[in-house]
Amino acid sequence: MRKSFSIARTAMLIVLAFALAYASVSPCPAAAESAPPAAAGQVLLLYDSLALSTVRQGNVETIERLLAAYGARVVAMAFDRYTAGTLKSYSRVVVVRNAPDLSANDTLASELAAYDGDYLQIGGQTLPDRVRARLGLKLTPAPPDMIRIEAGDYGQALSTVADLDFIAGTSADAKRYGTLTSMSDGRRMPYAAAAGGYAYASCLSAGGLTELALAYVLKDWLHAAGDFGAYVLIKEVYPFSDLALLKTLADKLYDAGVPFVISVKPVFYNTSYPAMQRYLQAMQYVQSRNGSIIVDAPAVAATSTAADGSLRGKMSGFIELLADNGIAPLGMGAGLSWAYDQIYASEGMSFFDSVFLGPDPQGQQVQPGGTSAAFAFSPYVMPFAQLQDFERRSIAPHTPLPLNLAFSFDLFRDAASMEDAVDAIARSWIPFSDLKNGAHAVRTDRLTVQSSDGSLLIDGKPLDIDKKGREVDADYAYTAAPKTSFTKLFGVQNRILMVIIGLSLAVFGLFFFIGYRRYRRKFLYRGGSHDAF
Amino acid sequence: MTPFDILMLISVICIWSLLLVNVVLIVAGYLFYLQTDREPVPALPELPPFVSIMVPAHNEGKVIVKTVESLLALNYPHDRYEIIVINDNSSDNSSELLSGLQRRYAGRNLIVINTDKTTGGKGKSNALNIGFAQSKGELIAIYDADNTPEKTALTYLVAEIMADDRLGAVIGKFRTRNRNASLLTRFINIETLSFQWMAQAGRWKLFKLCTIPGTNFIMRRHIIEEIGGWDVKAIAEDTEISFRIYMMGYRIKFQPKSVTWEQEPQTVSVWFKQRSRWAKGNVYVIVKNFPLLFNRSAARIRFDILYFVAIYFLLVSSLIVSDLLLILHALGYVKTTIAGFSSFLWLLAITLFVVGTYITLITEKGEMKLSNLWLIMLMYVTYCQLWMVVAAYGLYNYFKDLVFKREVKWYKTERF
Amino acid sequence: MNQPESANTGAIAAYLKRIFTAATRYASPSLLAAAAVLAISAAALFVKPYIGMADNGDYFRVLYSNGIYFNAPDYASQYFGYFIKHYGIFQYFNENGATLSSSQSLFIRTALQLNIWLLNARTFDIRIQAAIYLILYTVAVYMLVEALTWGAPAKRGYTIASIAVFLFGDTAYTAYFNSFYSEALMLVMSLFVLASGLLIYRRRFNDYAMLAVFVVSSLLLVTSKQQNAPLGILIALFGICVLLARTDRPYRLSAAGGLALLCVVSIASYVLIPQEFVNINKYHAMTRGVLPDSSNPEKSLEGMGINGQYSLLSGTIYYEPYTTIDVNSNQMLTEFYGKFGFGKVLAYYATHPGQAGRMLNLAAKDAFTTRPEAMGNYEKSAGLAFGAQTHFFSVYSTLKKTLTPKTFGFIFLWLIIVVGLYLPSFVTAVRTKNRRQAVRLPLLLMMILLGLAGIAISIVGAGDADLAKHEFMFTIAFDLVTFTTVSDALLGRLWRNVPLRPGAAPAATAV
Repeated sequence: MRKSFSIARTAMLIVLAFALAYASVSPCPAAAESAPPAAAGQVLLLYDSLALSTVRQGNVETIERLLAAYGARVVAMAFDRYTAGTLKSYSRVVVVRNAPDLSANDTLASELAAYDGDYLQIGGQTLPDRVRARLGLKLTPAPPDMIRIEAGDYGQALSTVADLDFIAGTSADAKRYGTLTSMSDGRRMPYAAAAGGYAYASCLSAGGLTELALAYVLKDWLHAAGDFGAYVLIKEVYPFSDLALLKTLADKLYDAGVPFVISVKPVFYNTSYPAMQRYLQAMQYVQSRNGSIIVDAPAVAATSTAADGSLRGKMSGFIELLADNGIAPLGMGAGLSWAYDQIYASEGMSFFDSVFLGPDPQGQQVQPGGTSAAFAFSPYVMPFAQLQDFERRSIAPHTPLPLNLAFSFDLFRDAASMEDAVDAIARSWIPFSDLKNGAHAVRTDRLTVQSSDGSLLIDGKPLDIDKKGREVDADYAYTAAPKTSFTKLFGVQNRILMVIIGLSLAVFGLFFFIGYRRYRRKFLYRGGSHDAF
Repeated sequence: MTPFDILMLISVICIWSLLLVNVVLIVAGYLFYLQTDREPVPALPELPPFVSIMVPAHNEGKVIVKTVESLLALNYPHDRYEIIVINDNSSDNSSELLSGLQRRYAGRNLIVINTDKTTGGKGKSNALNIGFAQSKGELIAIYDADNTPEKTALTYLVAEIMADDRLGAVIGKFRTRNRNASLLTRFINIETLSFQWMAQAGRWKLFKLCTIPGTNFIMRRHIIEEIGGWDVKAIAEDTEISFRIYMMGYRIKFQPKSVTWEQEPQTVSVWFKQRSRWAKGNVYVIVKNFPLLFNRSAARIRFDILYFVAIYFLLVSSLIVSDLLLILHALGYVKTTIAGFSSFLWLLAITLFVVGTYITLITEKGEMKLSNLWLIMLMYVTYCQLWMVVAAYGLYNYFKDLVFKREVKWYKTERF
Repeated sequence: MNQPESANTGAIAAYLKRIFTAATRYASPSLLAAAAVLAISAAALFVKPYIGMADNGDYFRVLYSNGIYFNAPDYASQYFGYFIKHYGIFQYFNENGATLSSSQSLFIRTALQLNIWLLNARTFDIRIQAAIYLILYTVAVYMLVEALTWGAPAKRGYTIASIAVFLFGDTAYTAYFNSFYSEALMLVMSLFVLASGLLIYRRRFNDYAMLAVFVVSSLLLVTSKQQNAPLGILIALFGICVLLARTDRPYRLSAAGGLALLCVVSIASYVLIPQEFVNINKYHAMTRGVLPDSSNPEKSLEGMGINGQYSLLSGTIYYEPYTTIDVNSNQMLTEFYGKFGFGKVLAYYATHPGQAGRMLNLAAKDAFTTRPEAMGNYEKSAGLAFGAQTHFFSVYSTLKKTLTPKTFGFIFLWLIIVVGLYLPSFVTAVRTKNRRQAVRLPLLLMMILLGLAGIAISIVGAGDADLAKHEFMFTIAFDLVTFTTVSDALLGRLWRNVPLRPGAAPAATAV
């Protein structure tokens, strides 16, 4: 019943979306024409503060990642960096209010008031009148109290959130998302409400269920459609990691019927070393156990500069190395900051149409850019531990996910923690998707790696994932032996001389024996006979 | 492969072939020792021949008295030998000391010839020629001014040469009187012992050839007369005489039981001067006699010439070339890619050197000491390397003299 | 027509000779050398365009801990490229802590105080520091040349003095004075150590005063940076010869005390100061030292208890822009840096002499470069290219860099030749129990070993990374020892005993 309802609602929303699109284009074609085309499909993200050292810290990054998961290109901007007229170029705006004491400056406030595109606000009591009116929003300050949130199949108790406002009332046609329950009085309020391109969500904090709750809002607000999947993502896989453990993990997940993705750290040097061969073998093994490989972003030194220019060659080299070894990387794993760096995006990520964006609060950038890079497929990365903090409302989840979601693990330290995790994955009852069932492509100048419907293709040729790779060369020559001449001659001479000298030594030994006896007889017993001086 | 490689290869082959030749010589020399050690020395004839002992001296005041006294004390019948000291152009008190000796041993055959700048002073060969003119013995023995022969030394030499008509000369052994004076004299002691057993005894055993060492040897008078005395141009008059004797078809025998004790240089600089003089002299002789290599009648001495050529030209130049290449290589100026012998082989070779030298040492009383083993090892890295410098310097001086036509004169070995 | 000309030249010659004799009377070679070095260096350091050295990123630690900060707005863009002469002085609390971890701080703080008194309380002018160093340097040059030329015939004495100017007036050296690198201090103190040692040997000045200079300059040298700490033990060891120069009790006691102090300070500064064998050096010690040349890097790593997979880092540098693993990550700390120290690397080279030899050869390639490459000498305002280096009075360093064979074999031969040249006089001195004469060879050997230890420490400590700068100790040692040898050779003092007592006539030294 629920399902049919959701289909009906989707259909309605699509109709509505068309209507809205039409509405937004037709009244003011001039504005649309004057807007820079690049900004047309972009989302402008405005925030009052990053809310450092509060429970809301990181929520700007979270919304950025959520938007990225829907393939949205984002321009993020703090209120005080806002320049007049920016708003005109955008048809979608997200406003994050973290600090009620900081208000938008007059320019921004007036432009927001005049703005008539899609609008989403998270938190805060001040909204553009138009939005407030359309949503019929009535906000009341939440009591300083434990709040429980429910979204999808999960629930979670939120610790006290300062300056939280409840949605006390909405207009009738507004769609409500999730529920917030005040633990003291049991009042149940919607987490968010949306109507006609406008939406409001009460709060967002990184690392909690609000992420998922907001995703439901965003899915509708961005008109995203399709089937979303859940993925198991193993991160922090280094050539220095316990590769045997990685193989065991692959076996366990394979046995549990869980397809998974490992994000391998790239190696740019010494790729012919046995150590690298072992790394590649581990990847081949993982691949044969229904694991998919994605390339993790390299670590960036604090001293890196935009002028370096080596990233493209390094990344494509690594991709090609993998492909040459029968490994099909299907995407990339990176911190969010990568998508916001011009160099990273253009030199390091342009090979991929699928990128798993994880949080990286201290990401090192070399050339921060205005607009984020967007990808056709970009699952939202959430640590599996975070999911485990959620209360499940039923044993098996049955609400469709609002976005592609990758549950991440760092490669385990030991077998015990790995067992626990595999167990937890199995008990989560989540039907995990196989990355290679989707269409993903990685293109370098030399080759193309693709996946579709469960098969892997390199330059269009299917890859045999069960093929064994090269053995590790036990006698690998790390240093080139110096070139020598006359080696043969000296070899022969060596042997001849050794025999001669050996024989001579034997003769000398005999002489010594005789000489020694004679010496003793001559000089030690009878005293010197003729040698006296 | 570079040109340096080929140069290096040639050097290495030269060095190793000479090592092998020396091994053969040591074996032969040692066999000689084992064979003759217990053989008695032939007896003197009923009437021992009259012997003239010649002692060339140039400013030898410090040692001459002792030398003459020990010559006077020989157990050879006193009336059957004379001692001729050629005090050649000395500026020290030699002549007074010698006349004092003459007075003290008035009844003995002690002749002192004093020369000055005009009559002498033209080197050892010239001095010997002067002495020879005054001598009357049918055998001529020669001792250096710094020698202390054992009592039996002359008797053995005479007995040996009288026992075999084919012998043109007989040489005795010399040992180091001051072997404990310094590290250098210890080295010299080891060197002289092993050299004599190896080169002299070994060559005698194999080719019936020896080289006259300049002291403690005896020759037949008529041979000297036939060859017209000593070549005044030769500094290494001994080697020169040896070649002449071979050419006459005689043999030179080594009689190790005739022993003289010699004073050796105690400091490196003195040693260096002395040895480079020898080296130069030997080079002179080699060059002079080199044509003999292609002379049919000289078949017997080919080995000797080759041996000397090998040591003074091939070995020295090989060592210099290889060391030079090593240095240039170390400085990064040349690049050799030549393969090397295994380090084990080098180790074996050094062991061979040490053992070979050691077994020649234990033929002598008091030399079978562990300390000698260490000394030989030390010698390998110091003394033997210095020898190369000496030989090279000698070679250089020879050619310098050749170019500048310098006159031969006394090279004085400093005494202590 | 020829007549007057030759008469003329004769007159000129006579005139020159008069000047020469006059000069001899008033300016000894040492005084002249010191004055010339002072003049040339002052011209380089204090006359526009000022010559100094660009920051390679090392200034931060030493400046901020001494109450100085970068106040140039575009400081970061001038790294490596331009010399900067003005810095800000912290007016209030300095949160970087005022730790005194190297003797360099003493000089910076003295300069800072002078700057505040004389110039400005807010802006620090690095030239104040340069002035302090230069004055000390001038004294050191005077002492060194005096030790070598005292009692020498005038002409040769002046020849040696001019060689000294040629070598030590070189801007590759003196430019360091306008920098916050500890090399400046090392340069000055090395000169003092050798000069005071030689002066004791020649009994030129008061022995106690020279002993004090010897000990103090050694102390300052070994504490100038932590890498130098082991050098103190070396100096103390060879300093025993200086101690033996005299037999009287007070002298021996004070010398023994000084050397013991040196030893203690050296050990203490190595042990007590927090390990500065920091990640970057550890990283390079392994990836630029042990691994690249190892026949089996995995085995090498496993021998030190490190996962052999880290062999993949072989040859990489710490500043690699894009890397497999963050060089500062916890994983690296526990699995890599945490597994080895200086000792293990040293032990590794000790057991792999072939590899150590190849590293030494590699080190030799930079051992004759006084001035690190790509390190600008000029201020940005001088308008020269980024990283431009001065050619003013730098013939010697340029010649040295281009002409010397860059192999360790050369260094080895140099060592053998120097020791060989001085050995006979040393042996004679020992034989004749001439204690003072026996000071010279050990002193020079000490300088040589200081230089070699510098190379060894830099290889063990940071592989081949930044060798040119780490090998500065060798650069100085090479110049000092070569200079001493050349001047002794010129004066014919290599083999024979050198006149020591004031009573000895200078003529006795003539060859």
